Amino acid sequence: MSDLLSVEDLNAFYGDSQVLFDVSLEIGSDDVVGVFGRNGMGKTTLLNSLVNRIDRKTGTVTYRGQDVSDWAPHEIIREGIAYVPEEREIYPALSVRENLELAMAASVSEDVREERIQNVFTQFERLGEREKQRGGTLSGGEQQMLAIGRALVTDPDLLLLDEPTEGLAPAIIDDVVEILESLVTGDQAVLIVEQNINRMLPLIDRGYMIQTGQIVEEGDSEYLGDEELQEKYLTV
Amino acid sequence: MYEIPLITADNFITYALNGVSRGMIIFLVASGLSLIFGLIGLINFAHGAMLALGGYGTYIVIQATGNFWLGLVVSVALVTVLGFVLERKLLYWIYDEPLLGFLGTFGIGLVIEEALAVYFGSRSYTVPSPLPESVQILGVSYPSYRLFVIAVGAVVALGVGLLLAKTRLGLEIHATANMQPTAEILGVDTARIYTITFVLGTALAALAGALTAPITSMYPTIGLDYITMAFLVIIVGGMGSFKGSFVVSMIVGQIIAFGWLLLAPTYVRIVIFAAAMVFILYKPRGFFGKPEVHE
Repeated sequence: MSDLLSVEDLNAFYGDSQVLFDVSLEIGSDDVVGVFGRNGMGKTTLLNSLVNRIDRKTGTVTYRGQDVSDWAPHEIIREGIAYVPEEREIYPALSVRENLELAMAASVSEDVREERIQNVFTQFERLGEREKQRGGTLSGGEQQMLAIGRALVTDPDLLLLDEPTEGLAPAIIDDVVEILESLVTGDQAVLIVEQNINRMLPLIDRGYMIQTGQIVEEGDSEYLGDEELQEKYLTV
Repeated sequence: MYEIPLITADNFITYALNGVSRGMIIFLVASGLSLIFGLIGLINFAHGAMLALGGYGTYIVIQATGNFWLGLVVSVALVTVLGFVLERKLLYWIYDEPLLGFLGTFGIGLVIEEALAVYFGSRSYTVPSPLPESVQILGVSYPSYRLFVIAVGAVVALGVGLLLAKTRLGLEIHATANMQPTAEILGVDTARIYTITFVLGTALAALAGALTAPITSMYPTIGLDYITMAFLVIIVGGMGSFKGSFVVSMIVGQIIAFGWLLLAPTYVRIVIFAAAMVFILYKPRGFFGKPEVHE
């Protein structure tokens, strides 16, 4: 079993529809892992299941040796997992700073809060320039930076990223990939789900292919980079 | 024939202050209702019954001790605890079912009002004013207790406004009210936020009931009169808008105070509701309602 996150025989449901079938995966404390698949194959559901943002699931999710399968989402998050959702889910009426403040636990001291916010502003200068601007007025790329920044201020041990390049202009995708490059060299583990496999392969240690809710392939970047494999599981 | 009283400078100020004090009571009821609706999406039909309990609770303690202030504190505290128990043990389980929420709160309201009717009968009760003297204000002699009600309303408006706009709790309430699933993945315990908001809303209704006891007579369905006016206030003010509830409560308070010079209370209510209907046709989202724009 992995020392950070272990998923065993995970089945996930939305209403009566089953979306994931017996998914198992492991993430170590400094792993960078990718999950790749076409749209609708269950990538987002997988991440939602890890933090219990789903109607129903069976199977076991173990985080740092604790069975968190039945925990409320906020309880799992406060254990050191940060989730960057596909739709970014920025609060449009809150300022950039308020969005960041919200993500940090109330127990974090004032000094540490300020230090973490300033670190994000150093890493994402555009956010620093827009500190008091409402989240809803940011561009798509800036919102993605804020969503990632909101995860980083929690100083997570595991970062969950759902399609970080989805819906962004090509030039902005380059910026986001650059940000991800700096993240994966950090000391936290990262789980990225993406369709855009070729931009992610240089970042990951290993990955999985998912098809109709089942893990069908597992391997390192070189293995997953195989054209036939990508043709089979990723080409529409 | 009904004679319209002459409005002089002195009684104009008196009527205006009456309007402010009445508006403050309506605001306390409406702001609690608005908080609960704005956050949880629950149309709390038991809110009026909480007001009635606040008033009757105060009456019971006064009968036992003769002390209004003790009655106010004890009744608000007990109704607040009741709100906590109701939210945790019943309403929490039916938030995802709006129809059950409607029926549940309507049922709770009916049970409380019927219980009050069985215990106290249908006759009205009055409570003596704890501040019977008057003070000079703006050149007129005005009851101290009504000024106290105005002050309490102003403090609550300011306090809750600051709580929502300037505190960590306010930030979490905003996050939960607008995107609850997102708040959860940012680590906000949204069940706790629901409880705090429901309990705060209930406390405001109980406070309104306790404060209104020395001003108007109490009867088991007193909450119904206030809750219908409070619904009007939050619709015209803009659903979920704390500022809107305050502004419209003040306007309604003035219309009631000056309207009673010209018309019987029932007709004043008809005029208020008719005006509100026309206003909503013209501005469906109310004074401070947010447009449905997905940013």
